[in-house]
Amino acid sequence: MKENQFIKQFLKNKMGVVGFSMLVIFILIALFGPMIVQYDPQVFGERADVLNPPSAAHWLGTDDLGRDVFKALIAGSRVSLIVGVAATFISMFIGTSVGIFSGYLGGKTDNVLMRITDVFLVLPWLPLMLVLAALLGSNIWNIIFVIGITGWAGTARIVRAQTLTEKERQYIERSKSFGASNLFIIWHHIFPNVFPLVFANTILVTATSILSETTLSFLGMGDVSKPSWGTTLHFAFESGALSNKAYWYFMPPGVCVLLLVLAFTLMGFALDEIVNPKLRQR
Amino acid sequence: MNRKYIVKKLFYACITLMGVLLINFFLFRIMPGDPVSMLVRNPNANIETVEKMKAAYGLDKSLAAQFVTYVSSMFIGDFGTSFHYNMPVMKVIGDRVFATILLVGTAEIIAIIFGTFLGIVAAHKRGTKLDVGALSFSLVTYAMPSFWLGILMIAFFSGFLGILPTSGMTSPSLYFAVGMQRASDIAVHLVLPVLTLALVLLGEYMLVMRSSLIEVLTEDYILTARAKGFDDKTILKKHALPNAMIPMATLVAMSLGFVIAGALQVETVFSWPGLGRLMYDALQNRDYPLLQGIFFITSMCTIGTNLISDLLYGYLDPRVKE
Amino acid sequence: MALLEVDSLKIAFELTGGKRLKAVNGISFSLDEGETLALVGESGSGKTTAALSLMRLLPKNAVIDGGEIRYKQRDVLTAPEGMIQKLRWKEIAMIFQGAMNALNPVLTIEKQMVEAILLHETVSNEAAYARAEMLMRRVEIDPKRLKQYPHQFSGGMRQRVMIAMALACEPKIVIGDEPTTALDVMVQAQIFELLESLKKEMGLSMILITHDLSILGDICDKVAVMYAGEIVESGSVEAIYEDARHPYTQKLLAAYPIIGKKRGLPDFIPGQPLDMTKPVQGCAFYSRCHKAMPICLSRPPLRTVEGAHQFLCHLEGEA
Repeated sequence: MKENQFIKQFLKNKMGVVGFSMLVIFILIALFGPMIVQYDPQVFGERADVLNPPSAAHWLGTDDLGRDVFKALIAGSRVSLIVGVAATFISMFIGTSVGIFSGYLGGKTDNVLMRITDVFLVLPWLPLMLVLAALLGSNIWNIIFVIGITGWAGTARIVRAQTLTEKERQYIERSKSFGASNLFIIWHHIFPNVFPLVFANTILVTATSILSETTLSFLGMGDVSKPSWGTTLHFAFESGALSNKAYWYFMPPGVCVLLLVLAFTLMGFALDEIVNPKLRQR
Repeated sequence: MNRKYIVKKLFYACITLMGVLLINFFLFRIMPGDPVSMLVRNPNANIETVEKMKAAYGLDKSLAAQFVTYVSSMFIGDFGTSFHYNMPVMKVIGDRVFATILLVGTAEIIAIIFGTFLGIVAAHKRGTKLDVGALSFSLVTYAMPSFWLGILMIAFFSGFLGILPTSGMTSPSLYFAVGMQRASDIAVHLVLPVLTLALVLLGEYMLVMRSSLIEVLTEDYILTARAKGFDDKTILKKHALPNAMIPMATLVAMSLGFVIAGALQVETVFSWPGLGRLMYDALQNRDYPLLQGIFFITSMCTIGTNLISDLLYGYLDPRVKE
Repeated sequence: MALLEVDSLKIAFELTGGKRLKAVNGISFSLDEGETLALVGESGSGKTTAALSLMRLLPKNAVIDGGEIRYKQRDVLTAPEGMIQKLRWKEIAMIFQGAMNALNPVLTIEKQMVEAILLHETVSNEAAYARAEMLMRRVEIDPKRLKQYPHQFSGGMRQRVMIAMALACEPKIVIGDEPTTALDVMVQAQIFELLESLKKEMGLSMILITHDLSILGDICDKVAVMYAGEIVESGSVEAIYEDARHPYTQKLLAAYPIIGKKRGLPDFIPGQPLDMTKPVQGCAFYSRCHKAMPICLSRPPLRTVEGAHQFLCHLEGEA
């Protein structure tokens, strides 16, 4: 599929366009927001500043330590996006490599790789992430690593299936008879053909990664020095914002997560429809 | 379904089980901060427990020997002693199993019934407002962290409306209640956590049921059934659903394993005294033996339900041969 | 009086984006008791759409633009749904193409056969089962295999199961929609032999839909050749085989040489079938016709050769 045609099809898809616009807004906020709005999670407010409802000075009120919730939200957007995207990158790298090699090489390699994939597919992901995060320690790099290492199995399965069909194409045989090496064929023939599928899958995995990050942080495994939306929610819950009816404290971060994940999901569904002709017109 | 298929799936489950055991073994041993050094740092641990731990793990023996002891102790249900509760891990877990099964079971039943039903309706009325509404609903529940949905529930039903309790499984004032009084107290506490978990599951079930039924309804054999003179209702019941239920049934079976682990978020928010909340507490207390035990149990659950799902598929779909 | 009459039937499909695809453009034919009619044409010529409309099985986006279908003098298109459900399978049954997908994969053959009998007739389960066994024997499959699932049969066997199933309620008319596509030539011949003997035995009327003119010889009485939703030539089998007048029919005959007749190398028809979402000016076959003339851009007349042999062309036509 040519790029132009691809973009045209995507622009026709309402879900995709809505998701993409939402994502652009979030990216702009994450990029420029922290430059405009300064936020230091280590600086606490005065006693009088604790759990104030929204006002002109604090648009979304203050938290239990007198910090501005709106500013925390802006700073959190960067963390949530970076962790989500970076973790997805790891997942996609492992998943795509395992999938392509497993499908292309076949035989014993395929068998071994697929059994490993099965293990990761069947492991309860949330407990595994929690255990890993607890053992490694809660800093942002570990969180990225933990989410990335636990989320690749589904991708590997999809990519393997696609590779198996690509492998049967005639030109692959021809390249082989010309003496092309396996790595050459994988890089020049298999990967470009598997890529559209990988791309659509990446978007959907990013949605999951962001949800994972939020959940981990909410459960207290987050990096306190770099608070994400999940971290804010953790402190809101632990400090009893709920029983104090401090809606401004626990509502906005949740809405942000919801919208960001929704943006990726909408885009992912739209891309899936374009890449998977079977799904079209459904 | 033939024997070869069953044997193959059983074999795969065993391999996965070995994988889980390996991960579990190395995770708590090789990682920085292995259990014993952590234990020494733990203020709740006394010298006696440290010695017990070392003996239990047999840290003086070779890694392979350690692994063998570890595996055999896992299978007799000996997960060591919890730091925090100072009781055998098995006992601590055992006390919590009922609460989780009650929560997950009730939520699953609700989600399966409503998810299937809504999925059928959405597929049947495809493209209408009802369908679009149902789709949007499942999209939103998918994009929402489950714990936050729980928080919303608390805020709305308890904070705003002022009905329904928000945490725990029983009211402190009814601690010594028995019989019907106790049962109804538990039931009232059950409403919000079950509703939250059911909503999360329902969206996914509905989506799968819908797409699977839509696909089946375009198949040629549905046209054959119409040509035979059956009405739409009979076609749906006798020809479409038996096919459409196959992916649905396998999904439900598989997700049953994950939901026990996934209930963690909901249990945490509602302080529901189940396995999930126990794991959260174990994390906060860095109670490694307990953590390892829970992780092993939840993994066993997913492996088990995964196997059941595969076998169910083989049973429901006569085409599975291999 | 004819058993089934179709009169100037027009069917269109409403597509997404407001387009309309005119699949059937005013076709007429009739079928007597015991008679067999072949509807012949390329894929997309509207023959399957026409056949499905006889049992009112068209998809939801299909619209009847005009015309009438009468079965035993009763109007099919306006009859209430309940009546149509009684007509289906009991009066008119269908052998679908590619029986792999036309049979439900998760139900046994027995179940799929017996359910149809029980729906239309008040007989006991045992009697229905006995009839299913008898039908299986008739199509030369071991009745024990009733307990099996569709995937356990070979392609040719599945097609025979489908035939047995179509006969389950002893219908008056059986429609065969490409009953032998995807089967090898030997099996094709067996299936046609079976259909022919069943037809004689049960006094069936049949409508056979096919793209292959060469296989009709022994079984068919009449042929209607369809192109772009119209019947471009119709007549007795002999008339079509010996005296085809429309250039399209002539090309079709050349494309599928009839065994035992000297006709030289197989011919092919150049070009693509028409885009039927666009209005047709003049003769629909114009762009692909090797005898096209300027006058073909106007509507061709319906010419009668003799008796029932008619064709739609500006040319006087010669064989």
